[in-house]
Amino acid sequence: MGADRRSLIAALLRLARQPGPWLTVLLLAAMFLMPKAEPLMRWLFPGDPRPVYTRASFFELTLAHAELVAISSLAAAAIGIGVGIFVTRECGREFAAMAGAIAAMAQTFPPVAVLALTIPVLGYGAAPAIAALCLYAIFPIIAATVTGIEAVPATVRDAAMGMGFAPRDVLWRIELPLAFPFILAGLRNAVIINIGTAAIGSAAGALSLGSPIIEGLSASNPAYVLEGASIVALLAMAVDRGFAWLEDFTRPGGPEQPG
Amino acid sequence: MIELRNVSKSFGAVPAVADFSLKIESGAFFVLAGPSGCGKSTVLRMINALIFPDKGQIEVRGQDVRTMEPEKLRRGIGYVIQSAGLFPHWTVADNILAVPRLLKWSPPECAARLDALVGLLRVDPALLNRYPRQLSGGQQQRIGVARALAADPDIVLMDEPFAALDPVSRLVLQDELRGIHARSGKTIVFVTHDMDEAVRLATGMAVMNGGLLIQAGSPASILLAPVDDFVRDFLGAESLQLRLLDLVPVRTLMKPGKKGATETIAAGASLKNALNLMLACRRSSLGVADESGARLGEIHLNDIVARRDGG
Repeated sequence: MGADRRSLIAALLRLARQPGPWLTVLLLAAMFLMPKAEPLMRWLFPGDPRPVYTRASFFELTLAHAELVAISSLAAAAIGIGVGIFVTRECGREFAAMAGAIAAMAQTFPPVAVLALTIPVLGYGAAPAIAALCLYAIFPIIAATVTGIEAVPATVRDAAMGMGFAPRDVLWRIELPLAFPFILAGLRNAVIINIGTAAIGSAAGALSLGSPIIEGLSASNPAYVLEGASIVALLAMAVDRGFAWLEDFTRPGGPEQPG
Repeated sequence: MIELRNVSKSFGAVPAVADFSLKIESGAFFVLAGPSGCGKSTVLRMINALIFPDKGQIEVRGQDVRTMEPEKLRRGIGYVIQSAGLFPHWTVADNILAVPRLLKWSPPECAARLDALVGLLRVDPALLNRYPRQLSGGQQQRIGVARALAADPDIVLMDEPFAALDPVSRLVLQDELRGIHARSGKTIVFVTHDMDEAVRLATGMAVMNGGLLIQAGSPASILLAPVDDFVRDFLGAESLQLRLLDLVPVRTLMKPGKKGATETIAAGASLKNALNLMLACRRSSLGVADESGARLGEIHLNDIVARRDGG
């Protein structure tokens, strides 16, 4: 019994040393307890008549923000991984340089400009924000997929072909599993960038954690900016830890294997 | 078993193999030897349709490889490459069973075959659940050979399989491969640039240079009568006699005799091994023993020196 309790305490201590759980707790606290922070905000920004954003709950804003990021990142992953696979096939190799150049160009486009250009086509709301975020996430995902597939040793591919793996088997059973850590890293990059950028979506009328930021900027209310920005930052860090854990967990042979 | 007729292949403007014809009989241990870049690997990779020739015909088991589905052809031919090429994200057991699973063998069949291969290649069963990166080079290549033999193919292609190994691992694996060949009667096509390895393993061999077949025949016939200076140089003329000794087992020169000579050598070892041991222990005669260590007779230095080459 005593030993059980000791090992439980040891496990809790181990958990407490990880930044992931702390960040998650902080994020949840910020989401749900922000209205209770009114005295703090009053002290930080004296003279502000309404220092806590109340037009929507922070839980609602975070959910809407996460939805923008999730939908745009999933779409970008589907397109990015698909293009990455295509340009590493025999038939698509000649498109590799072009795909890379187009995707890189897309990333140099400022997000606000993308919003401005897509609003006339997609209207106000979440759609232009999702389109802009998706465009941003595609490039790192294509790059990661191509890098991952090209990192598969030529001898491994040669052995697989020589043993009678069909091209489809080589892709699904050899190349993609070996490229997976790279693709996951690219996805991590894209998602973290998107969590930050999604705030801009509120400029196009989408609900997100950018809503208090943009309102705070236009109404000269720095308290709103701080509230929105701190939750965006906590969300980005918590999701980043989540990806780190996923990378560890999916390594062949489990998380404890030496590399 | 395998026949190439007037095969040519170029990569871009560079000819790799030119007008190459060769017939490999069923059950042969056939070695393709030559310096790097001579086209020997290209020949090997054309046999399992990893590369198609520009001109000429290749038949495997009497069937033109062009008329066969490449994956189906390759699943019936074992394939071993230099660095083993094990799949790093699969355990050793999964690696070995790659082809049986492609062929959709049932799990009990796979398990039985895995057992048999572990015995045949003396794989330490503790390795089966490890990943390739946790194995030494010699262990990896042993698994590479097991993987090639997994679906019990009648033909095995090997592209410099032991070239990257340390000399000890190489000798051990060569011996085991020769034993497996002798017992199984499989047809092995083996590419190497190492003449010692070629002579030690081959029942038939071909020497290539610059994409051309220079000479084909038994190792002894090539050693005794190289057709030109290239073959003579490649064989290493200065150690020709030693290489010939490598081809002959001790038992052919064994004489009855129970006394003297405390050092013993196995009857199946080569005369080169015997000579080496004589030099090492400074004796002119050795005892000969069978595998269990029982004394069979003796061998004398004079008999090795006086031996007439006949292959």
